[in-house]
Amino acid sequence: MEKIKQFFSKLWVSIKDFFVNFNYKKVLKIFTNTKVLNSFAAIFVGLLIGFIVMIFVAKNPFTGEWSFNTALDGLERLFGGGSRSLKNFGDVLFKAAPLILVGLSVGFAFKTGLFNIGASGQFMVGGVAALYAANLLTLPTGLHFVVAALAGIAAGAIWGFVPGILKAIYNVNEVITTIMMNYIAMYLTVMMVTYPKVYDGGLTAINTNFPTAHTPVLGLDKLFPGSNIDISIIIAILVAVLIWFVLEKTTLGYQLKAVGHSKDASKYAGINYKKSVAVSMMIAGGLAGLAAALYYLPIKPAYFRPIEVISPIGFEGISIALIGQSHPLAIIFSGTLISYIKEGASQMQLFGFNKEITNIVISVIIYMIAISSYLGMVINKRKERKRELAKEEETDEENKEEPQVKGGEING
Amino acid sequence: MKKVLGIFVLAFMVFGFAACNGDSGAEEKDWNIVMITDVGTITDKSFNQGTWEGVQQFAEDNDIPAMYFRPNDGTQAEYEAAIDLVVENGANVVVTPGFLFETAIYNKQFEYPDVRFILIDGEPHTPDYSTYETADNTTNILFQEEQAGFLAGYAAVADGFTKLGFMGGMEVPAVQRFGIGYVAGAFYAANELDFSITFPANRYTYLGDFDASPAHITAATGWYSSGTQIIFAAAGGAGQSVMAAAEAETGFDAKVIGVDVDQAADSETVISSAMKRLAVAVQQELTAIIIDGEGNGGTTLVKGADEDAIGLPLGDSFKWDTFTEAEYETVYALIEDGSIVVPATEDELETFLEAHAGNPDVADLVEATMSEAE
Amino acid sequence: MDYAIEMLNITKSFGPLVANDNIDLKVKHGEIHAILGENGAGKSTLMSILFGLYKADKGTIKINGETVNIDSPNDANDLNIGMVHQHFKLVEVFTVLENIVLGLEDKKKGYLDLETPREKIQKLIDRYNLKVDLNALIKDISVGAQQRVEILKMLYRDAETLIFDEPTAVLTPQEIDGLFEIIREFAKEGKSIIIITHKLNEIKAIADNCTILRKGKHVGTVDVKDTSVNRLAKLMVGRDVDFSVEKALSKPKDSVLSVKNLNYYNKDKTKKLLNNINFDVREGEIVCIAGIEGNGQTELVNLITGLDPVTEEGSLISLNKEDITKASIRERFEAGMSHIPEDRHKHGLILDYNLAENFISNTYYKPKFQEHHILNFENIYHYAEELIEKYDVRSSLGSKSKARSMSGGNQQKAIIARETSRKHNFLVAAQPTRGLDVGAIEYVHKTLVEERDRGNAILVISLELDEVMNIADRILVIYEGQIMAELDPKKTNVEEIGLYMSGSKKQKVNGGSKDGEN
Repeated sequence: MEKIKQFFSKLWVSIKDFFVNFNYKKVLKIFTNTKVLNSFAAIFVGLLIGFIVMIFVAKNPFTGEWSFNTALDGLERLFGGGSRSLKNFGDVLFKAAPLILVGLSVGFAFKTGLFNIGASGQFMVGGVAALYAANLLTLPTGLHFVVAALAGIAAGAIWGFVPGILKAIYNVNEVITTIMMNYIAMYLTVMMVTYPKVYDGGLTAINTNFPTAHTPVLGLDKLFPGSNIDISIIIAILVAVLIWFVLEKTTLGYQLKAVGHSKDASKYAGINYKKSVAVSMMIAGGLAGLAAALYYLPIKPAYFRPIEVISPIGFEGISIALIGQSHPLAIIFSGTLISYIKEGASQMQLFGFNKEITNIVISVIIYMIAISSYLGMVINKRKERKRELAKEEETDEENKEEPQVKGGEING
Repeated sequence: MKKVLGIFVLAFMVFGFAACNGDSGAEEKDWNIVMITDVGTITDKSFNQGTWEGVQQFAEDNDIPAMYFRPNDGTQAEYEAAIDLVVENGANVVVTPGFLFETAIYNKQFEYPDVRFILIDGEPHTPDYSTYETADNTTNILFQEEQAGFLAGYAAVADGFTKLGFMGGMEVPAVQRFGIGYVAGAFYAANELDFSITFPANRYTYLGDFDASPAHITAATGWYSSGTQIIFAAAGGAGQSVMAAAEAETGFDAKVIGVDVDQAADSETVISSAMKRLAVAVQQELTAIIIDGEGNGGTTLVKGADEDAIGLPLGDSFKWDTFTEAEYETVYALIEDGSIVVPATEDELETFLEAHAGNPDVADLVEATMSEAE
Repeated sequence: MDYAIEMLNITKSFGPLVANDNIDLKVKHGEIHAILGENGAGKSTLMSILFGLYKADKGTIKINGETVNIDSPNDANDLNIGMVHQHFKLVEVFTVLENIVLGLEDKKKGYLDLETPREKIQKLIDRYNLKVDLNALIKDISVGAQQRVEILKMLYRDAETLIFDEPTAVLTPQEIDGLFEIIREFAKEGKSIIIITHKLNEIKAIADNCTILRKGKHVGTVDVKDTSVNRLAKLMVGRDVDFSVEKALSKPKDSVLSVKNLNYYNKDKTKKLLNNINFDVREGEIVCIAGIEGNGQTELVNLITGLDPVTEEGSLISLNKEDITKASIRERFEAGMSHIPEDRHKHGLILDYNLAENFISNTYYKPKFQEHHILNFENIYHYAEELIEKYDVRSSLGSKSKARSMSGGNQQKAIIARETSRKHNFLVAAQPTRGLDVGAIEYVHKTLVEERDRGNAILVISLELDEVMNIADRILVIYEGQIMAELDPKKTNVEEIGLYMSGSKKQKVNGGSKDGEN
């Protein structure tokens, strides 16, 4: 218990430090960082290409004639739809929370050298677990939500643990096992949805009426009137900060990242590779499970229907992690961005555009990021190497006169 | 390079946030119809498409702007957001096909009293079903699916099919009514024409979803290969799976009865379809609201044979072999004038079979039509 | 007009770094010309310019007296210049024959024709005695054979100028002799040979002339016959180099590491890789394991350090009287073991971690570096600065430099710093000087001797006989997984060790440490 207290006090101190020592130069530095610029440029190019596609398909929704103005109108919605009103922006944040957490799930695994394609499956079992806890347990308001969310986390963690342990012990590729776990999750949850005690025949989904277990709103709806916002976005941001802290500041993060960077070198250093892989996948799964809890527990939640389709959210998580380059804090922004673009794209329909244009935009962004981060990597490596060589030469010059050197110069 | 990127980023942000303050300038006086789609696409050959065809036809005939809007997800929150958005954008008639809209309409009918809502296949209520209320600006349209089912069942037996099956999607009231009417029609015809038919309880099932899947193909294939000649697939997209199974059946000429809309174009095996004439019903109400200026706000319209809102497709899609259009018209007229009151619940079905179908010994089948819960 | 190759006033810079500064290189027909320099002196850059991989900023290249432009390796090919890179460029899953013709495939009616080339290549093989099985897959043949494939590739393309980049780094002494035979044969035929190396003895053995580069500058070109090894070294490093390692007589005390009846098989149990190995390493002595690569050294190190598990019953490894046969790697570290691994990049460093993070890779869990599982970065960076200072590890960003960006020598220094600063009394060093230049080698040897003088037990695995002779207090020769002999470096010579290494001689008494008192 004492340990946990200590842990959190340390966490608090480092967060406080961040804000106390906050200065705009640091922030500016973050934004002029090549990686960040790459991401922004990629996003821009993605939107640009989206716009070009829009110009081609722009049709006045009523007259059916091609019109450049319609394309502009659509673009305005794509860019600005998410921030037209506080309500819109509140909804953007509301929908961003699960996306951020799924992005973290993929990003965290990625940082530790694992490719979690199973976020979808972890999300589905997490969702069912949270909904079961919400429907079947009787607990006071607030606590009930926490228990339901923990149930989601636990189920997701178990779903991540299986591929983790298979990878650790039998070296089975996690890409394959997580995909298979997705299918198992899909059929299992379809089966579990129709359990009469939780099933709502009217919705054809798991009952969404569990007044004590809904995500608390805590007055955030006053800030964003009319929107569905609740504390899920705050939870998502806090969890992102926590994940960042664990990765960057703790021995656990040190171990996990070491294993991610080099399995052999960490084995040599005495790090328990198997445990690391299992733990990492469990955490990733838990994050996806929490995402599901926040997706299915709000007052106006998504419905858990018995559809035999693997939830696409895990794949969106991959996009979000890529755009955020797996950095936990950047994922807060990339998750919100995707939510923002989706909101805008949905509104574009008012001008006769198919909302699937979002998919074009997002995929172009990802391609651009893949290309630019690759180029950036190559350029950075060359730069670094050059700097190294230059530096070594420099220090050699300096050391010339030191006494340990026997003999003098020879002129060639 | 960095500078250029920086400028792009800046431009993007400025443009993005400058674009925040667009306002919609549609005039209030003019009618503006927007349909919000249910789960699925506009070309789902089912609910969305049927409703949209009606809206589109009406809009063209009367030169009124109409469009459709696809929400991000089939949830109350998304439906409400979609309604907000289209109303903000000038819509004043909102057409929503599907019972999933019930809770969203319940909230929004009060919020937008000047907007007319047409809710198809449902009635507004709170999420916990505690309160049902239809405001004056909302019209609910329900269908007598049992009548369509009855016609399908009657036609199949009259055409000489003796081994029947029913595959519903999820067990929701509308699907149940299709099934109950189908059973009633089949045994009514068998009694009237003195045919012997086989329709055991294990040939009546609800698949659990409305989506095509290999599992459904397997199930349907099992039925056909064990002799079932015709399956009424009241199962949305899952009907495609039943059709695939029928197409693959080589032993005999397996048949499918489609649902909701005329599905003859989907497969050669579709011999007929138990239709809800969504387009007709929607046009009737749009006419009532926009042309006649009144509409049936505050009420639930239950449309059936009387309003010509259900039926089997005629013309090219009428593919029955021995059953004729004339015979069809005769039965249709009987339903229309109330000579036949088609049952809509398990209890009514039991009574109906006793009274009008020679009381066949099918208690198991009757039980299969409705599960006890809810 | 006598010269086959003339590179005049070549200058090439990468940003602020001038890799080649006004360098001249002239090679005659039939001449074997060595290019000598430490790592980073500009040898590879110069050859890359000649081979068309880089474009020089300034300077001219003449082939047989004519000025030419070499923009790509294809141009170099057309000018009959061939190069064997240090890291071979072969397709592992292709056969030898396919690799040789790759890029110059003959076609017959649209199909690949391998028969015509096969004849030509077979002739080359017979003529130069380049023994290699044309039908074998690259991944199945030895490194030496792979090098012969690279040579055949050049010959198949009718190369007149042959460039060898560190050709002996991967070869056994016998293979080196074979290679030199072949190279002399080429020279006799009038081909021009350029050898890049930093091994002085080899230059003496084979080269006619030698061009020396230091830090991108041309130090001079000398006639090898008239130049001593020591002078070559001085030219290369810029100061006198002391090859012999100064050390006092070893005074070994108690046994620290003890290996008993160690047996080991390959995965499918078809081959015995280690055969009944017994030896001890005692406080204050350096024991060297000499042998040709691939005779069980790697397996031995992996078993001692715990990278591979001991699988055979009866095998026993103990450290400080403690049985560590089944211990985890961390338990072995805790028991007093330090390990300088053979492969710096694979095992020694987490390349994407910075220097400070690498310094704590096997001690991060100690109270000094963490409290309640939260890393104490203040201590970590302080510790890093200490080690950087003490071990003179050079890098551009100090403790924040990424390990990946550092030079090989400094990477090795960093590993040595980490492993010798940890609490330990036993050090395993597997090929600790592999790929390092003279200065760094001196440094490593000095450190190892210091370690010994502090009373630690040291086990060194080395493929370089010179190194073994210089630093060992006791030599164990390994051949096919068996200890063939235990020798005292003062009472033996390279020739004798060579006989044991090649398996042609074996001591009667098999490696029992108790007989090894000296």
